[in-house]
Amino acid sequence: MSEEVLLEARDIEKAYVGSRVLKSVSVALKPGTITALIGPNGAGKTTLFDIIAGFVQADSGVVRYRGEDITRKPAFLRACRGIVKTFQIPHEFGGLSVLDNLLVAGSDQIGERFPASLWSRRATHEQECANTETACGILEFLGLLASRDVMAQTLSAGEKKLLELARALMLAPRLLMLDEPLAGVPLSVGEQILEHLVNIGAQGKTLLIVEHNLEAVMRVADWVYVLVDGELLASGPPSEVQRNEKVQTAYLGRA
Amino acid sequence: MTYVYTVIAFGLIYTMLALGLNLQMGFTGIINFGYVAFVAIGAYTSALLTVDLHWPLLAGWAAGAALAALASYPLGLLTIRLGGDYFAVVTLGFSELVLLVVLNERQLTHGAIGITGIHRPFAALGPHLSAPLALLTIAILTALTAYLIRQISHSPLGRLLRAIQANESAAQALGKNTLGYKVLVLVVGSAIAGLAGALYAHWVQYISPDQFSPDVTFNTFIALILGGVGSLLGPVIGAFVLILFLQGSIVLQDYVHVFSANQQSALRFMIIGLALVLLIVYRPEGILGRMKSKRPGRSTGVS
Repeated sequence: MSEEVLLEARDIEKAYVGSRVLKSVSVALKPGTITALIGPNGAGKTTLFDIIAGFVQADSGVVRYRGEDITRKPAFLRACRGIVKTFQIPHEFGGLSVLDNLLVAGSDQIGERFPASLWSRRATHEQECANTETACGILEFLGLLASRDVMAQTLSAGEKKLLELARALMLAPRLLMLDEPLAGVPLSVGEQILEHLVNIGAQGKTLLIVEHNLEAVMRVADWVYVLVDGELLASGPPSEVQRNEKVQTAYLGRA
Repeated sequence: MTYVYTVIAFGLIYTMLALGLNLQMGFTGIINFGYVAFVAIGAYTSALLTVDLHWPLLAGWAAGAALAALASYPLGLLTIRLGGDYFAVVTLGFSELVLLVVLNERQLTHGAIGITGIHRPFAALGPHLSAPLALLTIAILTALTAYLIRQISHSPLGRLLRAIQANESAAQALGKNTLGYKVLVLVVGSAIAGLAGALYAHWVQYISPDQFSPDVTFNTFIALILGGVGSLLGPVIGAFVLILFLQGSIVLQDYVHVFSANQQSALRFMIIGLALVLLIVYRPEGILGRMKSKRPGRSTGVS
């Protein structure tokens, strides 16, 4: 297995009731880079994204992660292996506190096993303490620590986006997948999130971002894939893609 | 006195039923309209094993709970992925199926005639001692069940179940095998229903298929909604309010002669219906629903 590519999706095909959403699309993510997936509405970005995360099954094609074929693995197993996605519309656990939202994400919890959770109280408690510490670190990093005991449903749209990110970080993902992390948040919060993404990238994590805001993406991404009508129109470093004439007519023209 | 014992015993048994349903519906958001099927399996298993095969009582109860759990496992494995409403419909069908089997497999279940001569716990001590001691046994088992549910609720498992209820795909994205946990909850809840069914059979000492109509499921739902879905003490309060009302109105029948017996039994359900509507309008979280929001980690939005 080569470390050149962390995740590779090859020849992905997907059709919904006859309309082909993805036509033999291939992408590859290099470890430690920020890759952006851009394209106009309905280009198939989210479908490709969900196929990589395991929430949608491709009709054909292969997804490989660290050299292993994961095409048929369910989403939760992929998350356990380090492929963690966030949702475009925040999927917070509304009735749980911000801290509890993060604690749910802790992996391999003794206290979640049944019936073992009933008697291994001490081990559970120790793990809870360790996880709480990790969670508070993440909340501090994202500036959410002050709201740790607040019900998640009372957060603002921007804070919910940050909570999505915080919860994903709780799993210490190798590949962090963000579905429109800037959608629906005020400009200032967007800037904040972008800054966090750059910092997370600098920690050596691999990021895949689906985003509408082209200007923002071009600033942070190392590599850009442009998807139009289910086909890859172009790929390359942001500066190169921006100059590409096909991209300018197909995407920028419409945007 | 025996009547008071029976009211308390039914209150405890409905408490147990509501506790199991609360684990499924209140914590995890699984709507199970076939709950009575698992009560019936528990009741019949224990009755048949102890009466026909002379098993000891405790072994019969354990077998009743185990078989109810065992029956729910393949059902959950096959159908839990259907999600909310569809799963509810399947479970309703399943309970009708169980009832039909009980009614028609005469050699196994004694059919419509039912099973008589089911022993009460401590029956050898005579009627005066056996009733209170049996009641005490039921009370202890109900308390143990409540303790189990409380432990689950306060553990990371309870937190995860509430997260699954709030947003299943988010829990999946965080690496949780949500379908596995839902099957687990279905199995544990069914074991509780099975045990409650076995206790019921040995308290009333006679069971027949008509005691396991969908009414049992819906009474349990009513008890849970009255008490407060998702709260810890709600099932206890709800079950006793329901039983006191159902039984109390029967007692009243002897003293109030304004309505005929038939009218009165119909009136009972009208009043329950009205009470439920009023409750849902003015206090949708149930009698004890408010305590949910006091602690972080409990769901408040769903009830």
